[in-house]
Amino acid sequence: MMTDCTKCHWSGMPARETCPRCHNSQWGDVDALAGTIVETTKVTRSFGGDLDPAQPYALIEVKAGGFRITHNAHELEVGTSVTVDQAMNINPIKNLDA
Amino acid sequence: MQMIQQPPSQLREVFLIGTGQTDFVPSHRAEQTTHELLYRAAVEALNDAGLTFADLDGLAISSFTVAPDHSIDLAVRWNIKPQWLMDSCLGGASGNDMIQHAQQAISSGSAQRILVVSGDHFAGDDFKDLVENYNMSARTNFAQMPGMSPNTLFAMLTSNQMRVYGLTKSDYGSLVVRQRDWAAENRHAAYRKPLSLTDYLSSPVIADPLSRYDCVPVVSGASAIVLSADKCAGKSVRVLSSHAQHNPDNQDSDGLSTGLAQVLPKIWQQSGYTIADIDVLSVYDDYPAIVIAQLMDIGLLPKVDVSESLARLLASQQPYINSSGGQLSAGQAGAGAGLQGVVEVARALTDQGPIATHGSRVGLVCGYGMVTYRYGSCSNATILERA
Repeated sequence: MMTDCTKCHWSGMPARETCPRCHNSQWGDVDALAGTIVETTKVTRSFGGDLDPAQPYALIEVKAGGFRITHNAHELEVGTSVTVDQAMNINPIKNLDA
Repeated sequence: MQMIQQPPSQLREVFLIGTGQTDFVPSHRAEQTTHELLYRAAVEALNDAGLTFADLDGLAISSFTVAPDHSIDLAVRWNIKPQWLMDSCLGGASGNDMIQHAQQAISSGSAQRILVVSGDHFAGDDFKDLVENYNMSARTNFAQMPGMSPNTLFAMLTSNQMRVYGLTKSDYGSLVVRQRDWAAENRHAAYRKPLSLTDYLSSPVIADPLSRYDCVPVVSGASAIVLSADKCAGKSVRVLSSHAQHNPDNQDSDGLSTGLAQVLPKIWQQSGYTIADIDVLSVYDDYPAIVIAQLMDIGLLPKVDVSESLARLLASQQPYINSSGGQLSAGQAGAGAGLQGVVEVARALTDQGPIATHGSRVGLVCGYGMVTYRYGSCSNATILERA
């Protein structure tokens, strides 16, 4: 389940009862969020063991406000505009002007 | 509504009169339990202060792995009859957290002598369990993400810091290598073997851009201090001021600054010192990027020409930074990491630290920790003075 603030649409993590931006306490369900990849990393080792395959992650700045960390299966680059779905998958938004 | 401020009452001075610390041992090689480690550090601190458990009327503890026990359980095990108890759950900020509250308890007369102790031993999957269940945020957001750990989060923060300030891996390496030099003089440190910049740069990548020596090694160990209203002749350290700023940005920023920037004006005002007076400085160092963030918040590192300024600062040794080797070389003993810097600075101020630090008069200890999603939400600092 993905939610955003019903008033200002801030939609970051971690979950909270009160919106950090407008202090509204009402949250609504959303199917997807638009945002931009602002950071990436690829984890090659964790808890003392090698990861095979390495696991790519991304930090998304949500367009309406807030940040979310997601798996970055397509290894998209910093600056890519994406949508985040309820399963926390990200997909690039195609540039219609291109 | 008009608030009428009360005049300040007469508060007692508070002294740090004893320190204790176990060896820090990589967890897979550690043989002692959490309770044994905490007890050993506590006894050493009391011996250092010339006291016994019977002399105490206060106890503060911080440990992830002492559960299901709490401070009252240790009070019973150790035959302490406390009038003041505290359990801090603030991880890397727990050392200063306990000092901040203990100082107020002693100042106001609620207690006379308080033992502050923290540490951890991680057996088997204890550390993995801690990371996966650190809080509801970790449990609900990250549990299904393979390989997710604090390294993943701080890798992304470090990438951003490198881009914003034009830093390279060598800049972080210079900090790590310098701390390893200090660790050679710390008999408790888990890693004391000299480390070169070449070693650092050629080490395996963990989560790019972080490589092995950027990620704090998890160890087992414990630290302890004794705080008292009574000065111990010749070896006391005065606790001048201790303040905190938690959740400064609601996790809605870039994490490249901490609450320290809001803490320090209070520290300077209350103590009468400035950063220029600090001889020894402990900066919480779970990752080199967090050291750099705090050095900026402290005002020791400008936000322009950061690479050159960092090199100059490290070479100047004014102040001495992380002179026990920090956690990056000594190891991070779980919640005990929050007290490691306090012991480091207290020992420097009583000529028990590295030879270069002998004669130091004023020290600052910075705490940081409790990742609530992307980076630590807790910051605090304590300023100590040779008494």
